[in-house]
Amino acid sequence: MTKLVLTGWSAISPYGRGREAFLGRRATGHDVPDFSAREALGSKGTRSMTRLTALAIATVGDLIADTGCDTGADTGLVLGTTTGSAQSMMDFTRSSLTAARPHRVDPALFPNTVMNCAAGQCAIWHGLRGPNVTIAGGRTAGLMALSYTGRLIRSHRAKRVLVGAAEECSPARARLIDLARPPHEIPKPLTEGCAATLAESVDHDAPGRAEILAVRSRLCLDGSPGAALRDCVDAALVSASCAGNRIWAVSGTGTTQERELLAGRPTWIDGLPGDASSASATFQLVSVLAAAELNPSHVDRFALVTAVDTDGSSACVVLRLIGSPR
Amino acid sequence: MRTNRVVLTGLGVISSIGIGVPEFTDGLRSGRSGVRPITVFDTTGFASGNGCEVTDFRPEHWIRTMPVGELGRASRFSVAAARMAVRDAGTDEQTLRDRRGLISIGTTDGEAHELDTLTESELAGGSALDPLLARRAVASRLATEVARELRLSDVEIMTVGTACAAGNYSIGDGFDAVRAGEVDFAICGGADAICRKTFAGFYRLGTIAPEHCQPFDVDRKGILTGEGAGVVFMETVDSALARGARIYAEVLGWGLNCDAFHPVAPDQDSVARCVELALADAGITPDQVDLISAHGTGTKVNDVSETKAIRQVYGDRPPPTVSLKSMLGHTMGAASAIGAVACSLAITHGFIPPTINHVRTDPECAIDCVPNEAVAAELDIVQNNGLAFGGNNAVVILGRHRERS
Repeated sequence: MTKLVLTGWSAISPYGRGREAFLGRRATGHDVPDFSAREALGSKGTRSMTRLTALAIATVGDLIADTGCDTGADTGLVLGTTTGSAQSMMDFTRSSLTAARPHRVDPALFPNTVMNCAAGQCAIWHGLRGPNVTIAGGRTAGLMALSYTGRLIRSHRAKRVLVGAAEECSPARARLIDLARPPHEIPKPLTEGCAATLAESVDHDAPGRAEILAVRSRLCLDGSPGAALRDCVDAALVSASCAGNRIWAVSGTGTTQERELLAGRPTWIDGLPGDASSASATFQLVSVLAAAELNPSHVDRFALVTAVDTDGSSACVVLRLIGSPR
Repeated sequence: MRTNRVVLTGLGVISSIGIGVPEFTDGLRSGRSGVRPITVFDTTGFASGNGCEVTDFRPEHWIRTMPVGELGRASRFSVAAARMAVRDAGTDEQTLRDRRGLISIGTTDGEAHELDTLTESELAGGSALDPLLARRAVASRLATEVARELRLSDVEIMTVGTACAAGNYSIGDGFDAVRAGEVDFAICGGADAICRKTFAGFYRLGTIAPEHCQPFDVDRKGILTGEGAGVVFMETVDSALARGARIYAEVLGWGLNCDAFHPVAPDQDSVARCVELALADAGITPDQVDLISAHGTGTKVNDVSETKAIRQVYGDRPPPTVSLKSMLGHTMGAASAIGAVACSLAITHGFIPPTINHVRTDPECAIDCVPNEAVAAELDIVQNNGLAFGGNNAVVILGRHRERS
């Protein structure tokens, strides 16, 4: 039977650029160090590019190079975001409001204000002519992107999909998060980067890969996010035919609900330290893949990635980390 | 893999030419124009400030559970349109609660109007910025608040930000989910609100028409920004027949691809490929299509390459090809969703909505755009185009529902 499998991953994060940097996990701050669009991608076509778009293009490029995957009409891209570049959107409006005439805005900056700018540019830079989708979400965005990806592949709309999420640090994003933060939530420093995996349907197992067994989500309606998360995880485990006690590792966004529900699991794997917003869950996912890679196993292991957002959304994915038999 | 047939049994629409199915149908049939001076933001300083703004919209008339003041302008549209679609489908949230569903709303700008307002208050020296505005500015709430309004917890919730084809990206994904039996129902569509950011950008690019939107006309002047929402309720044909629901149309298939060529200029070959993908997915040939609802923005670059792409697939005699944007303006992420609603109504009521404001067809757009007056027509299969910024195309094929033995 055909399985939906993650066959590669890459990331640009405060740990630096690429898989090796992420596996090493040494960081000094919450920003991606020494990264600019121009330095990462060269001077051609990057003059007006946002950090967000550059992070996405570079990460997707690294993933294509690492995996050697085909691009073209059979390859799609699904990218999670909060709202695109909030800084670009608000700066553009500010320039309309403060210019001598309201239309004296910089036309070169207009594309940066559209939510799917990063995904569209990734397609242009890397020749990805398959489905190109942007999913707007909170901390669950990366898992919703995975869900959309699964349907694209199962419905034969793409043979493979590069699926990830990206965020940039900016004053506008920080202000919006500060303003909207619920009173009970403890602020975490904002972090940034892009993480992506390669999803494809394959019919045979290979060590080091991860099969996506189930993606599930729930919305909390009654003020008890813990119950919504529990229902979501239970449904995913049932769908994955995986007993809870077989889970080798979990990675959550760090909420109280997750700590309570998932307490006592053998291995807890952190995503990015700090608040990666819409990129949170994808960074958790690649953290699990990285941990499995650093501690290879001879048998299959199961892992659970959960995400809980302040808007009441919970989502999770159950993975089978394919072992390498002796 | 299971393959269910998927039908549309509920429609919700908020637009500048009508709110709700009856008023919107009347608007389509009579070729109503939604153009009026924009009041959502101050257009002082722009030489022209027309748009297709939604007026006389009373969100509290539709939205029952959510405090309307907590919702941004685009979310009010999406939530109200979803409510309408569920009601129109003759179902309710109690029934839906026991079934697994997908809620997906496409958008170009999310809640950019709320971001504009925040920016404005920052400039006005507001030291105490409004947390309410920041909460309303969250784009993903376009879909999340639909679920909250309907009190549905066990649903998959997506806000799809694939710009001006986003409505079709949502409907197509909902179709795939219902077709494969992953969900029992899907509430899908698109929503956007007029905002200064997008108006100023298009104005600066010289693409805003001063008065009318005239797609395919040799004297076209560009787009008019519009707003609103279109939402459809989808379920399997078995589910619809079992509960005796009215079926507007069957979703026959869809296709999506990316030009990977240029952010704004559509690539003719790639658009043609997308149409071919959709026709193949629907299992039909070009000669079976009775009507195309074009993306038809009213810019030369779009209209010429889109009609050429259509002729590339359909040859010298393409079916009538209309642009709803002549009436509705460019409703951005809502456009293809409202298009799907209009196509379903056209099939149900047997008419082709016109391309209004039309004087003389551009010889480079060699299609019959059904100028100015709606015409009666028996429509079996209709193609709904959505082409987006970033070279993102999505085409949905709808058909009259017929019993198959």
